[in-house]
Amino acid sequence: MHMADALISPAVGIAMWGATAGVASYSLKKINMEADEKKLPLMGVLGAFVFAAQMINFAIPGTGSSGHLGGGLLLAALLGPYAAFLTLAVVLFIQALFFADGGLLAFGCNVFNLGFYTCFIAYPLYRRLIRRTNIWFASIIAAVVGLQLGAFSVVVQTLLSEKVELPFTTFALFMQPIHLAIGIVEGIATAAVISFVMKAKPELSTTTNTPTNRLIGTLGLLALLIGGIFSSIASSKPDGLEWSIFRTAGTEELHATTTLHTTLERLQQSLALLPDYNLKNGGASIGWLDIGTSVSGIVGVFIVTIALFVPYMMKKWRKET
Amino acid sequence: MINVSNICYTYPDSHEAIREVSFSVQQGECIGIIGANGAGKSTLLKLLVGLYMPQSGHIVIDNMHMSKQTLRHIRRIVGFTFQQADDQLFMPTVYDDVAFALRNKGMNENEVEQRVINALTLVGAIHVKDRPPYRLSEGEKRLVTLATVLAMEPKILLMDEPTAALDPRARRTLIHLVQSLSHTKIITTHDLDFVLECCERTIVLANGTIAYDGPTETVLTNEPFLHEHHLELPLMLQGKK
Amino acid sequence: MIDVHVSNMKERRHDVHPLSMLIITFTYIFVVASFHTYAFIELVPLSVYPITMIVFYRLSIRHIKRVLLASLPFITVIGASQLFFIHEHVSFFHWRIEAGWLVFATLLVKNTLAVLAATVLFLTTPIEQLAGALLSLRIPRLLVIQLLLTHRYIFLLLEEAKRLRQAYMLRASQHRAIQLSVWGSLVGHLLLRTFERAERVYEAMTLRGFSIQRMHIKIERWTTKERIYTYVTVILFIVYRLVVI
Repeated sequence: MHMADALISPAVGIAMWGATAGVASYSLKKINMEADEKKLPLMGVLGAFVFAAQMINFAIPGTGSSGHLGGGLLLAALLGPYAAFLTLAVVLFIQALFFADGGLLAFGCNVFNLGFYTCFIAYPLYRRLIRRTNIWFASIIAAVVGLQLGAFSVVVQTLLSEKVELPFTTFALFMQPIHLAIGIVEGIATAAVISFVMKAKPELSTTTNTPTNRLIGTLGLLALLIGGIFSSIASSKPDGLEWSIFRTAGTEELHATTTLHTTLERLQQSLALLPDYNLKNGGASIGWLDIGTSVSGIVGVFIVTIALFVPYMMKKWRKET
Repeated sequence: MINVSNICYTYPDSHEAIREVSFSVQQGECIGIIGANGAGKSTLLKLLVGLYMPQSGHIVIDNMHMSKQTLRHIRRIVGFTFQQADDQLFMPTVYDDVAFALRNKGMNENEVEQRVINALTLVGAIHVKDRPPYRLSEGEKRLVTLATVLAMEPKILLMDEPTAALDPRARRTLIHLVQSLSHTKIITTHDLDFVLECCERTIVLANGTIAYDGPTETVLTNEPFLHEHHLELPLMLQGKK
Repeated sequence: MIDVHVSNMKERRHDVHPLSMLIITFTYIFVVASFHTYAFIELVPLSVYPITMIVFYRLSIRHIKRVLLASLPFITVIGASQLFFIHEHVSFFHWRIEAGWLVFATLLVKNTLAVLAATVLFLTTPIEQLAGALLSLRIPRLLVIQLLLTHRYIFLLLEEAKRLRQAYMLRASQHRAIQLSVWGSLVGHLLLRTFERAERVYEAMTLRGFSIQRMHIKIERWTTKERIYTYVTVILFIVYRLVVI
């Protein structure tokens, strides 16, 4: 699902632009175009292919409805994660500009939500799974994980933006199941195309390089860091959240109730990387947003990510020693 | 001008496309290469511009032995037009496309403009100068691909099925154009009337080898031979029987 | 979910410098997004900019309408949800209305303004000029070239996809969408052809001496007049934002 300009605050928009720019410039370095000049026209033409493939709907068995390919995981499988990330960025830029599908301010969010997780988390997962199981299972799991993370990002970005009033749990419960379905469909479609191509031209799908786990970690940290720096710059500017008329109308001091929340609150205050977003300011302004849950939302992302990758890292570490 | 001796080329998927092919071409000659689908026509042309490198045999063009080192020089004197014009026209406007190679050579803008205008005028496509290539008709695209090549002022022109997908009038325009160019030309085609009109010499390829090399008139009137190679008498000769 | 309207992508040539358009559009969207959840009234005057551009350059209303409609579903769902989550009342001039409706309306206005601004940029600025502007903003060359290439082949591949779909539908008119078992091979074929095309494009590029660094992308001069126009517009937007809070 594409993030829209109307839903995000400039601070979140710029932060995600920063994160995207960071990952993009890293990817640019990694693909080393001089060594593989052929890749440039391939990336360009495959970008156009994604548009074309999205035009061709397929029937989803047993439902009477139809779906189409997103294309992120397929691009990663064909081009490798770095080139795929850049190709997706260009595709999303064209979508934002030509079709106003996803906004220009939200461009960073969209590249991150649809590109980063797919190329740097779902794709490595796919590579690992495919060695053990079949292509269908691997690509369904990978697509679901990628889209779940992307959908969760949409939730977090929307809540951090505070442009709409949505309880975290309700929004998440709305977004995650939808994207579970989308993910399964995406996984099946990706597997259908890849298994055809592997039969027809086996040499195509074996040329890509996988990033190592350490690299994914570095990239994620890099993105967070850049995002953090940008958002702390951006959020120091007034964001129009405190609108005087409403200050009296809807102010409710939020008191975190559970111990988890109070701990998180303290943690958040001591970190103070994103000081203007939440606890200090949010409580003082309109304050309908359930800040406790949005903070635990961010923590949730970390937990999911760590839960996914710690086993792999440990396994790899064991192998190396 | 061109000297090809005993070249062989096998695709990575081990399909043997060209086997022991040898021929030579004098300056100013216009040669038609005909043969069934998959006989190796396009492969042969691509070998002549170094898009593929033969596994054995030699290609000498304008006294230069083709190798990685001489490739750049050879490509300056050999112009190649693709079977699908769309593959060759990838810039935002026709002008930019014709200027593409010249700018890559680092030529200054004034000279680029001069050459682009000349080339487009020569092929009669100057009126589409500022249009994007995907807006052109198939015939216009074909003329523009020729202009992109002519702007480089090559000595040799290689054309891969230039009359495919053209309407009769666009085809006629192209025939006149090809006849008026004094370059050394090698043209692959299924359009035998085109060969009859433009080329004095014809090479027939069959399964990657040369089945005939000689005057066009002789081969294009030999009906049994043509049938054997999935060809037939040119339409303008069919009535004469 | 992409609505394809190739026919609308006419050749466009307008006289605002692409760099100016880019800067103005981003500032505008930035300003629009910075308004708070209830800023319905404050946002309305900002519609002057896109409307002026649309009228002045006679931009395609049909295209704008389609793009706007396509953007509505998601924003409407989110907007409608506000009716359930906000129960306060606010005074809107001298009426007392439900705050949820005001948030809903504000979202719709914001969305409309952002979509209009992006569409105005798209409809007034040809892609090759935009490429020049992106380069002068230090966007890496490689990405800009890739943007141009993708844009170049979208039309061709869309046509090809359309033909494939038509060919399928002609032989299976009882289906509403393509069956998944066939779909994989159909799109797979398209993909293989795309690979072959990329190969040929690469060949055509190398034959003409392509290199990333030397590929020519025209960067138009940003004249003083253009600069002043840009600065004035940008300052107007920002001043409006700072005055109306």
